[in-house]
Amino acid sequence: MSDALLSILVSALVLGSLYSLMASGLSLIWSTLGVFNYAHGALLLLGAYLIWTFSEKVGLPVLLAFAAAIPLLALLGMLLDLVAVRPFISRPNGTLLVMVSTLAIANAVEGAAQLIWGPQNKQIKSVSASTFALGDVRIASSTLIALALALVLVIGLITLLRKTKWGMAVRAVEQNRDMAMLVGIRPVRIYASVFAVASILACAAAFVYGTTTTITPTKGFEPLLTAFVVLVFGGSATLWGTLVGAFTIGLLEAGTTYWLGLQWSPVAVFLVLVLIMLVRPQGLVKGRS
Amino acid sequence: MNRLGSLKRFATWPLLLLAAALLPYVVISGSARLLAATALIYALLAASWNLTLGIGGIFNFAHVGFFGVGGYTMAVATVTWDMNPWLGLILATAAGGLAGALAYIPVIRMRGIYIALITFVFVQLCYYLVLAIPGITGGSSGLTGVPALSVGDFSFAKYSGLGYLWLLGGAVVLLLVLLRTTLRSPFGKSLIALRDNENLAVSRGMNRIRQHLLAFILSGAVAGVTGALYVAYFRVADVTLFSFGFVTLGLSMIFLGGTGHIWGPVLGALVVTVIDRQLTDLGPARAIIIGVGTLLVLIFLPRGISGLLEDVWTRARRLLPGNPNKSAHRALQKPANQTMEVEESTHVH
Repeated sequence: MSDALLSILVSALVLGSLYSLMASGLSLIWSTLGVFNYAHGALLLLGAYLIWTFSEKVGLPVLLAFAAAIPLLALLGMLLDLVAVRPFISRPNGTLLVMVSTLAIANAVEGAAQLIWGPQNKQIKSVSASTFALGDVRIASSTLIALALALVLVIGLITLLRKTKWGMAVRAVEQNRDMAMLVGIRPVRIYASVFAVASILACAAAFVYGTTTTITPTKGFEPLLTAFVVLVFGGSATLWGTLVGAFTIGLLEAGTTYWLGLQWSPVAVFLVLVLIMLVRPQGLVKGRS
Repeated sequence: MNRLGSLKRFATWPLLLLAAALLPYVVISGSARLLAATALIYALLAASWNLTLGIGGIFNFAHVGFFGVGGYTMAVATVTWDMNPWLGLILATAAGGLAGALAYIPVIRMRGIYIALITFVFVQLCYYLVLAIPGITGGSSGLTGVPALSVGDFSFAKYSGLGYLWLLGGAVVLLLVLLRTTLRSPFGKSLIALRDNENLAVSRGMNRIRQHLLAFILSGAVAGVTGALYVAYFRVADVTLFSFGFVTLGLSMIFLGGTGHIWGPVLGALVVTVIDRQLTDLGPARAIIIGVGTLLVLIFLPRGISGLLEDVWTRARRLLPGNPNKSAHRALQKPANQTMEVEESTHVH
């Protein structure tokens, strides 16, 4: 295997991990509440800044900083549900209103991040600086950590949804809200918990993102939009589809960046998305069954 | 009909036109004229957006993209290709309409949330395309030195943009007349019918795709010419035209003004522009205030300012001498009735 191909594969793995974490959270919210959370990129941004603050300012080891950011981000996710989703979800045209409200929140968070952390580039320290050689290409062990994190969390979420009482409640609300209420499930609580879980996944995405690239207050939207492409690409059935979609889009992005250049890669990814939408317009992300 | 009603009916358009003509005599200082011109440009943007978003009920987020396409067409035509700015304006209108048609093609068979997302991606696609072809668009540094519009020797930029104020004020009145005429035409009524009950409308022989495509082209063309005017006024085009902040600003104007009336977004644009100007010194805090403000409006003022004014107007009419029974009757009927007068039933469902 040529070195070029290998380095494309490595960056595809990192991107795929990032996108699968982002997209699975989005997908969970989408399939349960039927809304798109434009503030998901803002959650990623907040997660990255929190981890950075805990590790650089408080002086915790990176992994501990990550662990400390998780509950905070879960709380922020529930707060987001409370102010930007719950007031609109039952109104006529609620999905449009939630999109506008989460977009407004995302913009506000961007401003807040600029105020609190400033416009400078920040990077989270790598867990381990070690690399190992594969042929002539050196692979950072952080790549493997990112990959493991994504696989464990997404497959963990799939298992949770299949096996636990909470997962059954989520699927019940998603399939028939009124019947779920009849058997004593409170949708409001389920929605809050879904937002908490999605935020935790966004925090993990933030960890991957923050250790592999520099973060600035405006950088939340890019992974959000690519995660949306992943949702569409990963297609109808399950979070497995999201996982496959994430790594495929990661590969596409890494490949087009290598061959076409950085500025053409998002154009290529979005054009692929438009093509898919033309072929498969019907419910692209259906509920899990 | 009582006196107030007939006044409203016959005097509105001439009065608005007169107001547009007199505007530069009221707004005299350079900074005030800048603010007024900005507000009028945003009014054009928000009012044309409402044709698809509010009146059509289509979750169209691509409008800022049409605006940017128009702006860049103007800049490329005049700076890169050295064309006459008026020709650029016409070209930008066509480009905006074409962008509208292109953005509609992938969403033809989609509904709701998917339309919102794919049209949002359209804006991103524009953003990255502009960055990807710096030879024509100037890349991330944008295109500067766009010539000002002029008639003969009179440059519109003279006297702190006197000509622009007249042009933009006239354009807003013209757009309102155009939207009103559209709403009263079979085409406008079919848009509302498709929004309120698509199945019924289609079963009565309406062609959803054709009507929605026309709405996209029409509102795209208006957004295109608006973008060109923006660029001709500020003399520069850059990628912030496609930014998220711009999308949020436009949406906050529409929802603050209310989607229920064609003039709602115009009012929203004027208010938001003035507030936004007051906030410019705050830097990043401005984004926070606009974002949180938008959220609060969405929660507490679901029908926007125009809805609020409508309620006040209805109450005022009931208090006036004339035909109290009829007025009271109208007021009671309004919330439940969706097919009365077009302008009173354009709430989004």
